[in-house]
Amino acid sequence: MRVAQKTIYDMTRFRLGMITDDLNNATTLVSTGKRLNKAEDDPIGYTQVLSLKSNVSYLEQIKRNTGTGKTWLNAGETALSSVQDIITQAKTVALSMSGGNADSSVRSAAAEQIRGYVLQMESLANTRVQGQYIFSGTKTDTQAFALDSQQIPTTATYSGNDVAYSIMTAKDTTIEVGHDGDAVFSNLFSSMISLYSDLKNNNPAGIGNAIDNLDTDFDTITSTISGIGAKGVRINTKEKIIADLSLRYTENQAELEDADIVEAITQLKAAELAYQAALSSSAKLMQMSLVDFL
Amino acid sequence: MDYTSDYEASKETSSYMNILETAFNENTENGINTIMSQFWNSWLDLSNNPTGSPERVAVYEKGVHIAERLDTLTNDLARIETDMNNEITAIISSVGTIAGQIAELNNTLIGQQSGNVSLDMMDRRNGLLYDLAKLVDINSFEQPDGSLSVLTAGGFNLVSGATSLSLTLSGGRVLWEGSMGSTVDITDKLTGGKIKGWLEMRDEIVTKYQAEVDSLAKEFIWAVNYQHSQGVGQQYADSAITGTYATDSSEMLNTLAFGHKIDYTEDFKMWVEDTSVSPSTFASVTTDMGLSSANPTYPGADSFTAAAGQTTYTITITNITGNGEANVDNIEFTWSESAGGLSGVENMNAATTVDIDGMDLTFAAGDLLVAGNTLKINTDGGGNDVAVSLTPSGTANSILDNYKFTVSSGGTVGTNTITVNWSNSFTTGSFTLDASTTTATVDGMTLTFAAGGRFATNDAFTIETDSTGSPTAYMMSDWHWTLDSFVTQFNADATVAGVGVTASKTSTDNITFTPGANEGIAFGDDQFTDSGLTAALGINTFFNGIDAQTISVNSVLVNKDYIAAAQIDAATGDYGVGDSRNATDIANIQHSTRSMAQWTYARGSDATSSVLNVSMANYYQTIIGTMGIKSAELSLTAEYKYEMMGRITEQRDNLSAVSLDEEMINLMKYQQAYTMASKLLSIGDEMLMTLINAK
Repeated sequence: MRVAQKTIYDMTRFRLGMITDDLNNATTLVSTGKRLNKAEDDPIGYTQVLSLKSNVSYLEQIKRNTGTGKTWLNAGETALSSVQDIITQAKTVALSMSGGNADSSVRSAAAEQIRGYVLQMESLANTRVQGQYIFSGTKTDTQAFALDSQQIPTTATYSGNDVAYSIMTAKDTTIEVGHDGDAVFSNLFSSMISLYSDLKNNNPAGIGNAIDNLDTDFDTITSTISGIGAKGVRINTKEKIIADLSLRYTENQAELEDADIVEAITQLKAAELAYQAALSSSAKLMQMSLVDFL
Repeated sequence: MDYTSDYEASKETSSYMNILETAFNENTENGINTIMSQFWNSWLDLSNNPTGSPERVAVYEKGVHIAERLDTLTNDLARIETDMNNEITAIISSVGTIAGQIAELNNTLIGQQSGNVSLDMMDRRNGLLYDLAKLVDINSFEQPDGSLSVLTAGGFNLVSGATSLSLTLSGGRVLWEGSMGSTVDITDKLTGGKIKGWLEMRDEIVTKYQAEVDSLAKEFIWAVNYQHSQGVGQQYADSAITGTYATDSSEMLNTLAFGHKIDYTEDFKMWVEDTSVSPSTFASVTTDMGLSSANPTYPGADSFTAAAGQTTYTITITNITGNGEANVDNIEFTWSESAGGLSGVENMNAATTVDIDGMDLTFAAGDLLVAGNTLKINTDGGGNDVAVSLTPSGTANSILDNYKFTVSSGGTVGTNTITVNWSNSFTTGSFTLDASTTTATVDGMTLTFAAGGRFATNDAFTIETDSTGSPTAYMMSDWHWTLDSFVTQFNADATVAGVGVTASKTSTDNITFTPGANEGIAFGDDQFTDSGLTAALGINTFFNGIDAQTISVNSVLVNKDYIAAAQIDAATGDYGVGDSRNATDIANIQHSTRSMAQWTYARGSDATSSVLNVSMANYYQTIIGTMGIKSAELSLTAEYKYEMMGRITEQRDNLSAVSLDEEMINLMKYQQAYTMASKLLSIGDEMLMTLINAK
């Protein structure tokens, strides 16, 4: 079969072109470290990577949400534990004042103690996190409770609303991390204030009632605290899940996107070798013809 | 030669696909995928701290960012189109030049006799032919007189004998100039060469991705606006609010850009805060946005009394008692008539017929009528109702879209010539009816008009298409809402609710709500499902615009307090500034499934669309995926064609090209033969000399 000179030159040019193309691809692979540089390298893998990137970004956002949630929950728990201490102390006072051996002057003094507790409770009920009141429902710019008078308190007015502040932890899930202050504190405030006025007015029957009321209120606070605990557990679980998922997604993304460096360098070396071989053989071939030998 | 044409076409399309991919930029942090994720995340950050100023600024900035990115993408795609047009212009003049050169060579070769043909010129002509094949697809035939005829695009002559014809580019279309001066548009018939690569890129690929990016942008704008319009910022608005979307001149609410998204089974609700007392009090105004359950019928024998001559009656339901049930409740109709300026008010009290200026409108018992609905009836010269009846059929090319029609020159169907202009989200067009034509084809749909109906100039109607492309027509003579009827109805509802806020329409067909003294206004609440009217009018919306190029953030939100992260408590009308429910609802949009159109463009036929029900992120990823697949396919095709070209060239060269070795051997053979022959000559010469010298 006859092969024209022209064919040899054309074929050489063609093959060299293909080898340089391979060489170029291998170089790109090694220098970027990624096997997906254009959508056409692996269209399906490429779209999967895009989807994974979105998922990872969303999970990081959820992590930020849970971080905020935990701050709120911790602040609430701390405040309410202190409230429990106050209730216990108030009950002690009430118990000791309910007996017959107390008289009006002792009770008056005790009333001042209770007044002190009421003021403390007011400031605890107005706890703030990052400048926001956590017991005001969603009216976080408004002070939750205000006593009508510091000297002789008779009522505590709630100015928040009844929708608890929540954070989003998943597509359709929100967790309440704030509180409806009314439900938590109102009864407690009225019990403490009645105790105060009963002590001032030397009313032993009222003081007796106060002990029962304070017991009930203590239970309310306890159940609120355990509610906070439960939500804290949920958030911790969520955080673990997010960490695992995030890792999984990132691994998937790396598998699809990143080039195996060893393989890439091997390919690069092979392409270089092929290129050198092609160049030297073409050089030899193109020079020879019968003309040289005549 | 075919392979050359195909290879060049694939190579050009493939290299421009790379440029297209770069415009989308998805392997960097500037891709739309990443920016959209950041946008949704900024709403979640806001939900963690609704009163926080940096979080609000972040939401605003991310909104601006995505709007800008979409606009940049549109500009980049437009630039690719311009590049294509420039390349095509350059090519067309090259085609003309080469065709001219072939014709000249033909001229020289025709004259030569068969034995004396100049092979040099024939080679040159062949070379020119290959050059031409790279540019356009060609077929060539050798004629008996020695000339070469060259045709393109399946049968249009470029070279015939000694004459050449040329191509021109006009309005983006490639035209073939015939010898009589006529031109034929051959844009869709070119199937090879670089020009086909560019035309494919321009007319099929770039247009498809532009349409899909626009579909995504439109759905994105609507989804965010709808949810945002139902929330409230850090305060009620205490100054007038003007909507950012306008109707067309007919004022039909259907003609709003998102008019087809309005759900007329739901209502419109506004909350009004009275700040003259402390603490503020709240009241709500609700307007029932329903459409009456049936149109009236007009007895054929009856007619309007009005002045002689053609006129248009506008009839609005202005008041109902109870449920607005015909035959049970009292329904008040207010009518006016355009030619003579007559008007009046009629009541249909526990009846099914009402007399409007001499014409009895009849309803069926049990029909439910809604206050605020309006309709328009055209009459002929005798006062008879001649509302146009339209039956659309077929499948529209653009699904989930709103086609808006305006009559530019009116007349009676089946008698006069009527011209109608139409537009949808992607394209515009027009059609004409005349005495013999009462049907029209519009973008895949067939519109059949009943003869006898009359269109007045500037009449309007709309057609909405569902997810399968099925059209539904809404005529002026069907009950509908207009800006006027809504404004009137809202103001009536506001008065009943005892608030001072008023609605009005602007000269540009937008709506304005103005609070009364010491009043603030807000929209929606946590129990309310909105009809979508608020968002469609552009009230309390986050984005402006209708597609990837026009999207921008509502300028009202420069005051970041109006970014609506909270929802109003339906029980009280008040809300907490730490409420984040609207922000989380907006963030959740990224997970919701939406219906969007996927497009197919083919040169030579209409673009068609089909529905894809996926989340917006998935839709975008599908765009990138199909781009990648197309790109890979083109690369492979180009490689394959290149190899085939190589093979065939090899085979041709095996037959016709020169092998130096062969020629050298032949040369030696002839040289030896010559040497021997000359040897023979000298021997012969010697023999002769011997003879001559013999005595």
